[in-house]
Amino acid sequence: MKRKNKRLSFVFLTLLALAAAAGLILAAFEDNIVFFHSPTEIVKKNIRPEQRLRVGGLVEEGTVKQSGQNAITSFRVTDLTTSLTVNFKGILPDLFREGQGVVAEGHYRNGVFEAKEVLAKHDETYMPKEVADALKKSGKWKVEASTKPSD
Amino acid sequence: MLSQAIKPHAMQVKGSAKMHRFANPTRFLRLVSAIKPWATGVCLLTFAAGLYFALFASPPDYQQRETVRIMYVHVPAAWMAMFCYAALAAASASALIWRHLVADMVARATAPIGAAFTLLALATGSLWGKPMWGTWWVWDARLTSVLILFFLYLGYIVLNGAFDDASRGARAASILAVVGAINIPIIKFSVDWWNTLHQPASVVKLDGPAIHMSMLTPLLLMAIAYTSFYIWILAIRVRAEINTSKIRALQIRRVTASDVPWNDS
Amino acid sequence: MERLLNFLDLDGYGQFIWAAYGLTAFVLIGLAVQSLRFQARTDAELEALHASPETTKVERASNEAKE
Repeated sequence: MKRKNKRLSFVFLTLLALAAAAGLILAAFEDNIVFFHSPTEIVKKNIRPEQRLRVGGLVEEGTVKQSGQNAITSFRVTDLTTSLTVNFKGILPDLFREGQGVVAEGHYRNGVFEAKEVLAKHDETYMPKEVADALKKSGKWKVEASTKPSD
Repeated sequence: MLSQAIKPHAMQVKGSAKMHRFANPTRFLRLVSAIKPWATGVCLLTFAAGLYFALFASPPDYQQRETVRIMYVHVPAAWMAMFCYAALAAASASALIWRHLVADMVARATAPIGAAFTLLALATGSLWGKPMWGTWWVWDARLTSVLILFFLYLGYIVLNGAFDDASRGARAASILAVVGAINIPIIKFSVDWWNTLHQPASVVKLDGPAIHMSMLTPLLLMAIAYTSFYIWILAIRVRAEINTSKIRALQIRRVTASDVPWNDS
Repeated sequence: MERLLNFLDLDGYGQFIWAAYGLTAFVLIGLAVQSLRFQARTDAELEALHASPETTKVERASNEAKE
């Protein structure tokens, strides 16, 4: 084999081996790479009250409640299978609203998620308001934006 | 030692006879200077049109309202960050395998441009994340893998200048660039493989873009502007890099001819 | 005037949007200027080396052949 062909196959094989190694490492650390867990996972797993973690899903329609005195916002996060009550005291991001994606970080204690921080998550669709309104009117609206209560 | 240092010139002579046409720096430079005015023209025109659409002639988003305008500078920067890395890795691989001098020069010229685009993707993303997500930064798979991309660019640039023997530095940097290519599919698919705060792809996806035409127009115009900006700056930097290697070879030859290594005039 | 202020305010998100555009302009223009200087500097240096009396006739000829 010519020297440069040798180098070509060497580089190619090294890359292949590295890709395989990277794949294995990423698969092994999957639990640490995911940014949040779904309500289903959190309810199923045995989570210690002192464990800090994140829950992600959609804010269920009609569940957002503000209590005036202690400024606590309470809402339910759903993955369309399971839903979970989240309590939060603080300023919500501008994008926070019912039917919208949300990620809350905090502790899961006695069936309630006590959030220290709430972040909004949005999807990959972008359109003008008029187009969104027209889609909603014609009934062609995607399912994520209007989550139905699941419990 | 000496033979290594003046390899560029030995390469050139061999290159014109045997290798691919554009492996010859002089021919490559001729090609580059033919492309440059076109890239400059396209860049200026599409930037003007793109900015007009991005800031004036496009509607606010139904959810993100005016902040969607950050997309027109953020998304093309992120695309180019990955595209430049692909170019850097491919050029570095051919520099390692076929010892193309020109490939090494293209890689060297690409690195700072890619690093600049990556920095912009990170910074404009942060400026978009604060008002919409509610945070400047999170350690999710997408954001973290793009930060790693930025460090790969920096590592490449530093390695290239770290060795006294320039060819050894170039070799180490090329190896880093090729190995780091693993990160590119990780960035691209991070939003599909893992739960992330960052949303999945809007434009490059199987079932067609999820962006309305009125917003896709400025986005694609800006993408063309960024791409032609890369080609324009690449043309300038490749020439400067080839100049640098010629200067180094000339100086080394002069030093060895006069045999006074401390004479650095 | 009010229309201009409204435009700059961008629904309250002006600071974020203008910061993103400003930073983009700063980095891209900065990179372009640095690249042009890099080319001009090396062009001049190479020119000076070619013209310098220390460069031997043989070198000059071989360099010209390559240009």
